[in-house]
Amino acid sequence: MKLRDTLLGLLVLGAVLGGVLWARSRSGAANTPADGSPAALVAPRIDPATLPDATLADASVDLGDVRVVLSADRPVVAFAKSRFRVRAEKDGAAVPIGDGHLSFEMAMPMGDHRYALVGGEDGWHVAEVLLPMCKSGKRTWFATLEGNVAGQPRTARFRIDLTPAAEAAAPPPAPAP
Amino acid sequence: MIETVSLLGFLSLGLLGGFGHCVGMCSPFVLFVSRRYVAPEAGRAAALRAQLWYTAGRVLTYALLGALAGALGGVVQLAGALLGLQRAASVVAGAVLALWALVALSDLVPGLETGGSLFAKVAARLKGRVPGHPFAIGLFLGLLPCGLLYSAVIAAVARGGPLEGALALTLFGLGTAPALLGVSLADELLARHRAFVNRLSQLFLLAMGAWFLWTGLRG
Repeated sequence: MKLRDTLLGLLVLGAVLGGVLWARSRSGAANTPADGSPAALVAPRIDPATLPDATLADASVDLGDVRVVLSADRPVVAFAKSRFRVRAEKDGAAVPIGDGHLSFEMAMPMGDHRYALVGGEDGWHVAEVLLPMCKSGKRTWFATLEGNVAGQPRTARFRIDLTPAAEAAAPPPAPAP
Repeated sequence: MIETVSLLGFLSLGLLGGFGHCVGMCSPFVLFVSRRYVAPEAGRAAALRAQLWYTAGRVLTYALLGALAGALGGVVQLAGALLGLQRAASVVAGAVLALWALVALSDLVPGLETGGSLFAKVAARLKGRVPGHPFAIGLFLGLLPCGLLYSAVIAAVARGGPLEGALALTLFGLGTAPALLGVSLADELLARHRAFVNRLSQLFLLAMGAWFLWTGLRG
């Protein structure tokens, strides 16, 4: 009886672990986000160190003939609305982003965060974003821009680290004497 | 503006997140429910019943959060409410888990479990305060600080109304159930009735409780 339970238990545990691997593999396969599919908005396996970091300063991605710049109201605080801005440039001049979307994902399944970009001033496209923070303490989100830029569908990826609300509310450290 | 997620999307988010996220973050609560509400000799059917009640409570809380999100229709109002809820739920759940685990482990220290020590008094009081039914604990633990849940709540804002939001979060909650019921069944078969493994799970509960408490207090 105990042996049977153990074998059955190991089988169930194996099924759960299989599910974990399945969920993780779905995350890794998600390079082409699709409307209404949270599974497709989970992070691809990207080395965060290779992505332009928009945490402390505007970040840009060079797509050959076009450069895409991501800017945000800093710090980007968990559970607080943040304004993200995207601008595409060609030969130094702004070019429109057609059907632009900004998606946010983490390395673990953290749901669907896909925002439509709205055209603003001086070629900047804007989205107001609210990102939750995982209790595990992980704070790195990947931002993916998708849209038609200069007549072609383009994708640009960035990383950004959230600031916990408590850290954002804390007074800045006193300057050194 | 955040884009609308289909209802099927919420279900698949729950299913995917259940395995990819909840198994790691919520297993302690599944173990807690088994140990608190199911007598050791009660059998697997009783354990399953307790887990289903717990799941029903959790899903109802999710539905209420979804209804709130759908009714508010905006993320700014929601954000402040979520932050306070997350901290409070983290502190209370962490304290309950840690104390419960300490009570379970107290027989390892001779004389601690009996007598008029402060610990014994706290333990007796705790036993009286933890809700007497797994449905009630599910209702409360549905508020736990979970980034995945609040991702779904934020997405529910775009559903456009309280009923739509409630339905979306109900589907999300149901989607998370298979993974956690699987954890419960594995626990029932492999751990709960084996003294040494059960001890390890009590230590796991203690560590997770302390961690939830710490992260909640730290903000």
